[in-house]
Amino acid sequence: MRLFSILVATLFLSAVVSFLVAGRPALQRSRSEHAALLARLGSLEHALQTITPVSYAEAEALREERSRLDELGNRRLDQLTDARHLPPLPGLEEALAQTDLEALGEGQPLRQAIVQWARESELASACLRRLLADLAATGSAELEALQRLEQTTLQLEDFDGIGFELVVLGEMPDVLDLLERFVPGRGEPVLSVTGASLRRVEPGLWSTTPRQLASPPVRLWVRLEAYLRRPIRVGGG
Amino acid sequence: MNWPGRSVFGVDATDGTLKAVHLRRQGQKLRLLGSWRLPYHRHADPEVGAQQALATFFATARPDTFSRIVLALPDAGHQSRTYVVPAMQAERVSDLVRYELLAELQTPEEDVLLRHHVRKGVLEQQVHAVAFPAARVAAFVDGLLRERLPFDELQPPGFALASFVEHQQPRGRDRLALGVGECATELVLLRDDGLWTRHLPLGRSHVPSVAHLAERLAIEVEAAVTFLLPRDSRFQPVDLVLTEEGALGPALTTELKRVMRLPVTRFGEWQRIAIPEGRLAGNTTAIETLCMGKALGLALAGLGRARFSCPLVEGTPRRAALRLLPIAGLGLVLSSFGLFGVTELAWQRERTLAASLAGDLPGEMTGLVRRAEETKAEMNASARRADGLLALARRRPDVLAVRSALARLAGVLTSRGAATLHLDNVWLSPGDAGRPGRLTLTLDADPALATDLAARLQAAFEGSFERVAVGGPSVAPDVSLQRWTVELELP
Repeated sequence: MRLFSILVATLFLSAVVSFLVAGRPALQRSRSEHAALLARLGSLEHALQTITPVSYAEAEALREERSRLDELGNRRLDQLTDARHLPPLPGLEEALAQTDLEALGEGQPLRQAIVQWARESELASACLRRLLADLAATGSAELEALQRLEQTTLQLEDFDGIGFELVVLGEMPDVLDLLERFVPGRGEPVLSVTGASLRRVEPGLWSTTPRQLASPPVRLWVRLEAYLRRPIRVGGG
Repeated sequence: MNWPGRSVFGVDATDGTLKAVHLRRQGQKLRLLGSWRLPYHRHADPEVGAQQALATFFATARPDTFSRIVLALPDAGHQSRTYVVPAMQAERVSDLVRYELLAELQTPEEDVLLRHHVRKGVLEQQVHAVAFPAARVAAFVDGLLRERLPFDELQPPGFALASFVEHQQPRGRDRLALGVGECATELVLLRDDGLWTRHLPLGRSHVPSVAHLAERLAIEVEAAVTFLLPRDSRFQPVDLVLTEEGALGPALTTELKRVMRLPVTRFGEWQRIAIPEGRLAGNTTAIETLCMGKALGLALAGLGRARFSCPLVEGTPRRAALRLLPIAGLGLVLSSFGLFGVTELAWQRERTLAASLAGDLPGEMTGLVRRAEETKAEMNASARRADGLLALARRRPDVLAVRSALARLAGVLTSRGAATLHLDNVWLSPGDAGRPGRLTLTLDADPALATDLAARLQAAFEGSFERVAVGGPSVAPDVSLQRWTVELELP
């Protein structure tokens, strides 16, 4: 009986002590936590009146979609600027020295203009070197005019762009070959045609076979744009 | 440990010999756990001898706290009556008993202890009332308390004897019961409509012979019947129940049969009380079962099985309080677990509430919405970037389509024969975002070709270009020729 009484008393005493030491403060804290929860609930309701909540899943889906689009853009950019199988562009002086075009002969105004444009920017220099290299690769083409344009049709965040308009005289295969060199996918600068016209010079001499299309000279007018990848600005916004 | 109320000690020390039984109730069954018998009639002072015998008994038996102890209150000088009253409320019965007894005894109320037992009937009820001298009761209780002798209630020994007889042989007819002790005899007159008890200061030790005792008892019985019972009905007992020390030997039985001309019944074996085999607690032999009538009646009263139960004095409050110890202990244990549970629940609730809408959830939601908007804007910018790069890349097939168109045109040219057909101009307008590229061919043809040139041109370009529109003929700069246009939508 005495042992039972002692055990019960000890149990009850420990329960009372534990309640006084831990339970009662916990009750008070739970009351304050409840009040804080009500306050948080009020601010949450207020916030819900002004915003449309977005779930974590939706936010994650948006991030994944953005990553996918970034990856898609990067792949397209890499394809456009891939130049692993192409020879490096010659320097401007070297390109001018190699050309035999009359319009770019020593002292010609167009040659001086090209040199002047090339000094203005790396983009212009690269574009002109590419144009000179492509013109040199086409045998009979003769540069008749070259004019710089102020704006490009595409505003691309990865590229700085510049426009040129040129007129070339030559036989049909040569001018076609030249035109087809002004396409994306041949390294930088990325060239693209925004408008072109092939006009026969002498209609009376038109041949009867495709092969003989080369007989009369053809006047190629082409408006093209050149894009050069913007340098990466470390720490830039 | 005994469960409170299921184990009872019935102790009678009113006639020169302490007799006690220990009964336990198991469901509806009663079980004898022990019996004790301690003579004290040779003591010079019977009251002191009774107290000493009680002390010896409690020291020997050591009843635990949860066993109920029912003692017989010495009933010398008590008065017993039976009233038959209509059915009425208990308070009115008490008032009636007090009024009737006090009027009959001509005694101040403060000098007597009045108690009664009611046997309820449909139309009328029997009230068995007793009146004890208050001073004697107080002296007896004081003696018990002084000697620290435990008890839970005091019962009149006559009622205990009547309950014993009714329990062992319930007949419902007129009966006579004698509890003949060493120093006193308890006389009980039992009738279907009443109970009368009387204390006789006459025992086996007071008379020289059993025959003399039987004759004295017969006289006392006749006097009691005359004095106690109402005169409007006859008392014709069917037998005489003999118990206590007088029942231990056959001599008194024989003498009582002879004197009173009644069959005498002794209970050597108890009915409806299981006596386990083996050694019981106590110091009695089997033959002494014959003298345990009042003790057994007291135990029956403690177990609630007595037909005539009339608690006179409640026991010491300490025992009652101790008997509540299991309940109180259980309550404390439950309370303890309740407190532990409340503490744990408070902790859990605190943690749950703290974790609910934790942190700056509105701010976090606003930030999440803002970041989602930023992500959408970045996604749109990425989409515009990818679209722009795609538009740039799509200019390549548009340029290469010129050669393809010229090759298609070659088929038409080879079939023109001698007629004139010139390609005057090729105009390329590469596509842009959302707008397909266009290739326009301008032809100057001999009018002789006009009949089917349009169809031939249409057939030449269809299948290779999305849409083919042949226009003409119109007037050419060379008036001898007709001008035709072919507009091709690039894929």
